[in-house]
Amino acid sequence: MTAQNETPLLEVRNLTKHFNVGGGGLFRRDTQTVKALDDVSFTVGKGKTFAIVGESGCGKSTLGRSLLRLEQPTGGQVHLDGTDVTTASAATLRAMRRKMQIVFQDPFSSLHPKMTAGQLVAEPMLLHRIATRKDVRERVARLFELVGLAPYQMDRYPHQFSGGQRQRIAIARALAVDPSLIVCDEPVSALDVSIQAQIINLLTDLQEKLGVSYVFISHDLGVVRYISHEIAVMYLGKIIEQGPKDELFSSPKHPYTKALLSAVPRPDPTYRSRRIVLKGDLPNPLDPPPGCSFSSRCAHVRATCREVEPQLDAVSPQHRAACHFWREM
Amino acid sequence: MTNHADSPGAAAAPVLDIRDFTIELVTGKMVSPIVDGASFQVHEGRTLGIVGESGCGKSMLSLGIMKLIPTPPAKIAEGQVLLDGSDLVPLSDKQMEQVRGNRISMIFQEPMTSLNPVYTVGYQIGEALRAHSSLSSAAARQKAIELLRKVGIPNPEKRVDEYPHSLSGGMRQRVMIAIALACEPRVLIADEPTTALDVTIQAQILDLMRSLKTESGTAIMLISHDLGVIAEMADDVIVMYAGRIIEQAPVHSLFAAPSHPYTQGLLASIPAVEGEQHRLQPVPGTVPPPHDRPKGCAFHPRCSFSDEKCRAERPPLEEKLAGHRVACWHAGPGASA
Amino acid sequence: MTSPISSETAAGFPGRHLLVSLGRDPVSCIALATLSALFLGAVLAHWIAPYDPLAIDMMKVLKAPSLEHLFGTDGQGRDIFSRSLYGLRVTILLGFSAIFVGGTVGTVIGLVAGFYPKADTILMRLMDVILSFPAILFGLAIAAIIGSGTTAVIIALSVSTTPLVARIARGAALMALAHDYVSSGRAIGLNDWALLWRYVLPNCISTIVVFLTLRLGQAILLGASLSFLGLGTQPPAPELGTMAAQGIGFFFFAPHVTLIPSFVIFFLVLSMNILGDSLRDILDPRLRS
Repeated sequence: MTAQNETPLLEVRNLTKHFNVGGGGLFRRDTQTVKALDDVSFTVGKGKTFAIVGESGCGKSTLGRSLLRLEQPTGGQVHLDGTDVTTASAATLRAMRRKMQIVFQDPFSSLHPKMTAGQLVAEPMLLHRIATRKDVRERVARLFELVGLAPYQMDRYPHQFSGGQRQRIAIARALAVDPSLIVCDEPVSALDVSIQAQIINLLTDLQEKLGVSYVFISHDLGVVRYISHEIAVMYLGKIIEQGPKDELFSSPKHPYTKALLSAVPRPDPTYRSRRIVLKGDLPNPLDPPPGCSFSSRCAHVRATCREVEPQLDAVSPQHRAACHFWREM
Repeated sequence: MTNHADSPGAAAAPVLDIRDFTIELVTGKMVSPIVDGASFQVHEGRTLGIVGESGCGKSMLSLGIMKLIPTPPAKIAEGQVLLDGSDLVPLSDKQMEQVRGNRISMIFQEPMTSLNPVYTVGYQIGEALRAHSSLSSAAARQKAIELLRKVGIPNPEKRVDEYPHSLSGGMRQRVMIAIALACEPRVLIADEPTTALDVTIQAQILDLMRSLKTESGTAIMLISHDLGVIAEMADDVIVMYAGRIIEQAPVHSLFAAPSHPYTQGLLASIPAVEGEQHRLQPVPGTVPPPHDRPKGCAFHPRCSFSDEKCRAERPPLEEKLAGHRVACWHAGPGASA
Repeated sequence: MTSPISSETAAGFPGRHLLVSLGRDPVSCIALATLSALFLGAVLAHWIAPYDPLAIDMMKVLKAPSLEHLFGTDGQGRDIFSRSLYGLRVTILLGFSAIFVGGTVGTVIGLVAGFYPKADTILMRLMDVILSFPAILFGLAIAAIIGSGTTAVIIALSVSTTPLVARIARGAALMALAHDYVSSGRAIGLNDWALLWRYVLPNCISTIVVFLTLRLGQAILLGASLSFLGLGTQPPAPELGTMAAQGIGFFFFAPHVTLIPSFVIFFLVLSMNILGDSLRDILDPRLRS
């Protein structure tokens, strides 16, 4: 979508992930299936950021992990530079890890507590023979400077760093193999607002310098607006709206996107009471409503919505929405 | 709530009057203040927002008012907490039990762990009721159903007999609010009540809190790290940094004319969902830990306006505009900040 | 969605503080001193022992403790002090070998079960089966197959320790696996072996070590019990449990023959348990604030 002239870096086709739940124990019976990912397709161009937005339980984290095959998808393909990640052999997959990396949400859980910051960043370089034992320290020092850490901090352990600094270490570790794609799974949502802004700026600067692509997973529409080129909104395992950032923010078509946008508290006391407040909770993913999965909470729901599942429909060449009545929104 | 921020109810006596409240953390021989000389008032039917980043002391302040701080290592070093004119600080634990949940209630961030998983929702609300009144259990159950209806839980007659695990996060937070409001408290302290919730559920809970406040006139102290939530809910705002109040103002004045460089920095760090989009201007550096606070103004190492005076002397919290108090040497009419 | 994280966490691995922390508690100090004395005695038995532990002297049968024979003599006139020192050696060896073998096998099984959900059910059900047999029964069965002796006791103790360690190790592994750093290791391209060895094991080891120190006391006690029943070390070789058993016949006129080895076992196990407890208090992250 983003780059029609060149082949996209990442191409995701009909990605599906089902989890079986219930029926545990010795006598497994009546297992139910949760469709954590349901027929998700998108492409990411080189040097671009594709954001995936949604609330908890929408499947966005499963998507991130499935892209790197940290979870085995149930169906569909993930092509990175033309190679399918989902069917790659163990050896191919390990080699492909050089091209794609991940940064997790919680920097207090994502760094091995018994390795020093320097070791954490050096490990992927030594593993993939990008650096030798001799020059690795120098390379680590350069990466430290790149992400805004002081090289003298190399021999400290993760617990001696603050949350923001730990996230910088995680970013340096991801960058160590010089990847073309980094999946960022809520990388700033555990951080204070001023630290969050520092990390957002760092990520955009790195993209400019290195040309790396991001798949940026977040629940925060504000953060997404500052970092992405294209955005997909997910609800119950499906992409329900997708488009270039400016178009999505200026004229959202899906009622869920609209509600999500309006629910974000603005730092502006004059904005009060202009919000759309959705009724009810997220439906039980084991038992999603028939037809449109958003129909149980939608203010504009009609009979068709409860019967026919809407498909992603082209609103403009690059903007798609899965709502029967997007024209009226 | 409509906007009537210009009437802070100066004539009416405040429900909660905090004076020079100081909490110290004692670790070994080191004594470090985590809340340092906080003074403010909360009025009936109004919401006071307290905003700050982790480590600024906002949660300690709210726990300190409830006298729920872990002692040791923390202790209330000085100050008064006047609830309807009477001081809570000298009260014994036994006396405080009669105050908590009755005249002051509190709701916490984590609705998943705040409810006891082995009792029904109705039992837990009833327990809160019976602790402070002589209701029969049948009457308490009836009241619990009423309260659940009031906090917007559908089908309360059925829900009252359910266990917390069968409720969603938003529903649990509604139950927590029902428990907190059971005894019609004078003050409700809400510590990050929506932080763990999704944004659409957050909007529901904020709406609920607002309508309950209008109905009951309960004074609310809302603690949050989210300036958006504060802007939406509060009538008056306190900004805390490193244990001290650094700015205090009516909500419209604070967001229209933020005067402390830290408040300005916080606002410039927020990635907004609308309006012009320019590069974020984060406050550099991090919050200093309580045992290592710089001399003078605690914010000076991160401040672009800091000079000799900021490094040497701590700025007092002074009224610079009408009702707008700031602790900064450079703030105020005609100042460079 | 989650709250902002507080700026600092608790201190890391407390290796250096271990002795300092132990030193603060007087009971632990006494336990440490007792244990050191017993170990020293066992190691230096050859030089300290005033008599040959096997030397029979029918002229000095069942003598009460005296300056000549500190702990008295047994039914065949052997010096109980010397025999206790040598017996301590065997007893400690039994305990440690069982802990070493059971600990290693149990850790491997536990980690594999935690790491591979497919192997989990089979391995852990197998462990449950072993767990349902009393250790004494194992001792009897193994003694029946390979004959009584030290080896039989070590095997019985190891087998009965393995499932306990496996459970602990599996739990610790699952806790480590819940952290994103394991995913992060996988994401940079580490294979399963490297993940288990470098990412999971180091974060489980303190939990396992603490459990093993507590289990050591039990193992020693069990080993002595098996020997007492005649399944373990065969006379005339000295072993504390065997020695206690040999004194039973004279208990009413020479109780020291049974009581003294029993007390040595008692002090050994007690001090080990006390040290194990304090070690847990210091190392267990859940008990650390």
